[in-house]
Amino acid sequence: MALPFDPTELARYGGLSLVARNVVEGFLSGIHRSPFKGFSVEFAEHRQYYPGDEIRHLDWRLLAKTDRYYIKEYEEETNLKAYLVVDASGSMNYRGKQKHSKFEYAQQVAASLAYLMLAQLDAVGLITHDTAITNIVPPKTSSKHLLNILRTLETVKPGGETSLAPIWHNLAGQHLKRRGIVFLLSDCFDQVDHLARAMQHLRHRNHDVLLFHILAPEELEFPFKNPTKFRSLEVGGQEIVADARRLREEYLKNFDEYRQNLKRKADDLAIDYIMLRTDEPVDRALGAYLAHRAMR
Amino acid sequence: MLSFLNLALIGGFLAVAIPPLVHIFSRRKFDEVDWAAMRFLQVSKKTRQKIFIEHLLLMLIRMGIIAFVVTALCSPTLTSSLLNHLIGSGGGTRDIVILIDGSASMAYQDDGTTADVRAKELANQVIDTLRSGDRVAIFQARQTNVPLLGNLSSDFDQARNSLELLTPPRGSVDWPACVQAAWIFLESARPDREVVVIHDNQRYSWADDNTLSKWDLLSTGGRGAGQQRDPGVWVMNAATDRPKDPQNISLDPILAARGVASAGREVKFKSALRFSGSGEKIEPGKVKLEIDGLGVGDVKVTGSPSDGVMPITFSHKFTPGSHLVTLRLDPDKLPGDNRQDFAMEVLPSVPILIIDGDPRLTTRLRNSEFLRDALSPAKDPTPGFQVRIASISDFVPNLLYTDVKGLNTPPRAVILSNVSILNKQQNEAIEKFLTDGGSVLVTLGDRSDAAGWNRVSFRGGQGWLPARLVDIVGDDRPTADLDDAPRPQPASFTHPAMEIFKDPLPGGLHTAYFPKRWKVDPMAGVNGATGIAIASMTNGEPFLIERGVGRGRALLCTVPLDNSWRTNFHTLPDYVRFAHEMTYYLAGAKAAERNLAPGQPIVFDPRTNEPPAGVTITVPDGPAKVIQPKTWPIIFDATRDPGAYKLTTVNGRSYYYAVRSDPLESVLTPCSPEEQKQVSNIVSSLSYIETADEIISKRSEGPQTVEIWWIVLLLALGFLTLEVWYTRSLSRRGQGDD
Repeated sequence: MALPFDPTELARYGGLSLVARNVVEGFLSGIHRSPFKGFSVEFAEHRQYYPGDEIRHLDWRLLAKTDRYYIKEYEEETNLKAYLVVDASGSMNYRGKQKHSKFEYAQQVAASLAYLMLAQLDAVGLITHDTAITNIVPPKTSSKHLLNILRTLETVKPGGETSLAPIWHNLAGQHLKRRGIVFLLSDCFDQVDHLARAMQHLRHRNHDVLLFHILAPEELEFPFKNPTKFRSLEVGGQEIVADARRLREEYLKNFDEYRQNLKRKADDLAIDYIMLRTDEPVDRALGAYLAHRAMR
Repeated sequence: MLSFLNLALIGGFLAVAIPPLVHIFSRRKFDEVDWAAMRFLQVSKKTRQKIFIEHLLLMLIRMGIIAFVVTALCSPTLTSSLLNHLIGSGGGTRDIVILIDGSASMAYQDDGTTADVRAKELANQVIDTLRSGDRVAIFQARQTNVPLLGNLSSDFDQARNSLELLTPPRGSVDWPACVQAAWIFLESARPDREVVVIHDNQRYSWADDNTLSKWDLLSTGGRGAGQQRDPGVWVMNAATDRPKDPQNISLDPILAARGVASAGREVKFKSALRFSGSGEKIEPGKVKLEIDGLGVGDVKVTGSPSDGVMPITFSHKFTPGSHLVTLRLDPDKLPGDNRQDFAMEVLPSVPILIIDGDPRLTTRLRNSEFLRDALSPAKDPTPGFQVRIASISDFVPNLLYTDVKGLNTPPRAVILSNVSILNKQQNEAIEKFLTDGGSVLVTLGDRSDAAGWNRVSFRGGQGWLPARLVDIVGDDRPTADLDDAPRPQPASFTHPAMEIFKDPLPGGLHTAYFPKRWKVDPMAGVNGATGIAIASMTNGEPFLIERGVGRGRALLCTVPLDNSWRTNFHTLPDYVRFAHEMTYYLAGAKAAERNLAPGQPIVFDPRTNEPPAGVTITVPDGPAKVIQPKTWPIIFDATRDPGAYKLTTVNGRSYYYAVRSDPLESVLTPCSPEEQKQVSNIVSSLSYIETADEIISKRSEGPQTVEIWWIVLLLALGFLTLEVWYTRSLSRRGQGDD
């Protein structure tokens, strides 16, 4: 029986580059087409002329033949600018009983997306932050740019307490001025209303926003049963000792309310909300996203 | 009212603290998790309160389980009048002990039946009141309870039949001890427990001063450990038809001048006829003397019945061996006190060992020759004593067990005459000799070394010497005035062995003067007094000091019993008498073991070379018993009945023992209502009744007691079920519906 192949295991041998390549090539090869149709070199199809279309794109030859106005459309090389915003706060360091921490999982998702989009000749940039923005890699389309992104991702160490909303506001106001697609990879442990306002700010800048909500299974299921001391990953010295069994009911209720609220706010802002569990393979999460994207 | 039968387990309630302790300790043990989603752990105040209440409830349930189990183990009982109807409607639950008076007074017969016959009838009536399921045990009350039906039985026919095992009344009864024994017997019984006493209402042994103090002790400390409530005591009088204060004539116990006698020597005895009860004293019948069960004639009774006491004195000469002296009075209404017995040991001559402190071997120079001449004159062909004199240098331990003269004549007493000091082996041998029942007389003199005696034999009161030696006092120089020398003081001669010297006859002991003597201190022991002065000098100094050591006795004489220190004692007629009486007294230490108190065991060792073999024991008014000993001595403890006991070996040798009766048992004065009330005031659970039916009617008046341990255990089970359900419920809720 063949052993199941997990591309994320490659991170141990070849870093994020190899992971991203295998993830993307293994699952997305031949599927992805640029969703942004424009007027590039390769013809795609005709469509009826509408007032306002540039005249230079009229198919004069077809006009001569049919006496009708058609516009020529081409599959263009995208000029999309994509921003990968990776949360590197202390809470992302949570691993639980999983193979990867939430941050490691976010690294792999970001690397895979970067690889995919650079392969499509999209411009990809990277922003990491904890309590403040720690790295900004401007978007470029160069294939060598991938290594730059991956190297930056690999050097980031998560830590510190984060209030996400101000940072995302800052990004929207200062750094992400040109329209593009923004991938937010975070556990979103902040006030939902504040996050919603920050995302609204991004939307206001005409960004297409995808929110990858990265959570560990333990955070979703709270499987603890014994009296437990919970030590905060973000705030040193913050501890809560509680009978986990008795706490579970209310925790799950609180957590579910929070998540549903976040999703509802994202939906209201036409933001794609994708929850990723760290016990799920990265490619599956990515595949699910692209399938969802293709339907738009 | 709630009470506990098994109060000793009340300490188990400490176990109730286990759940809180487990909770406290478990809070210190927890898993540790690094956690990101801290904000969602902040539960609401309501949830915190809910969790706290859940914890508290669970802990209380668990504490309740433990508390109920411990309570059930303590056997709780509930006493309430509300239970009367409940108990009355169900099966029998009573456990009762019937105590029937077995003392001699129960046999008193006036015109009607005796009290012991009436007691049987009353016992049967009590049994008739019992219901199916009730249980009864029956004992005859003596100095201890004698079982007739020794276990609680619900077979009432068996109970009635057991009444036929009642033995004829004898001796006396110790009621507080018997009631206490019944209470202890009932400790393991059901909670509805009672004691029924059937007696003849005799004041003595029920409400006399001594018995009242015993009742007092019983009421304050007689109950068993953990027993809170004393069982009820119903008292029935089986002698209601007895005259108010019946007249009775009884024989006092026989007293002998000495416990051991020499063959052919006259031994004097004393006794008396004692009158009790009211009314004009009637003339007593004849008092007959029997030796070894054979009549030898009537004894002389002096005085008048109006005196209340008529003294009896008699004497007899015995042949060697064990003898029984019996006095019998003509039968009267109370047969149990018409006979008295005395066991006498008679030796051909009493073997005595004198250890002389003079190490020289020249017999003529020994001062102890004075004592030898007094005890065993050279010209007397049949002396009362066989005397051996040994020098202190020849005194080896084995000498104490070597025959003095002839077979089986080890010394009965040892006289240490003017000995300087005993070495360690000699001292240990003397101590063992005393412990085994021998006796020792120490006469002090100029050779006595005070420091040595005090160090070796007194040892701060831990040794055997009756007093600590202080110093030689007085003046025996020729110039000293002998008239000023102290003399024995007759007023101090209260000891039985000294009473004979009390009369100031010419040449008597009181005329002896002792210009020089040893000063001793009988109060110098670490724990206070070690010896008692049984005779003193006119200046208050002790003359003779006695001390009991083991089964023997030691006497210390503060002067040498010879001609030294210018005393005239050896020249007086009473010197010989004194030597004889003291020696008989010392030699009779073992004889005390022949005349016993009721219940005191017979310890029999033939002290011959007879191998252990069957011994037949004849008891008063009972069948003879044969004991097959593996070793000597035999110990026979069934001696609660007063009277004569005869032991016969396979060689046909007979040995008599006498168990003395209590003379106060002859005083038939009944308890007055006030005296009865005194007892019931002390023992609060005691009530007097006339008929057995009164037990039932009076029982329903007061609150009843039922055991409720099973109810408490059911509660514990209920709480256990609740705990399991609640724990599972909390567990399910904690796991959610996943």
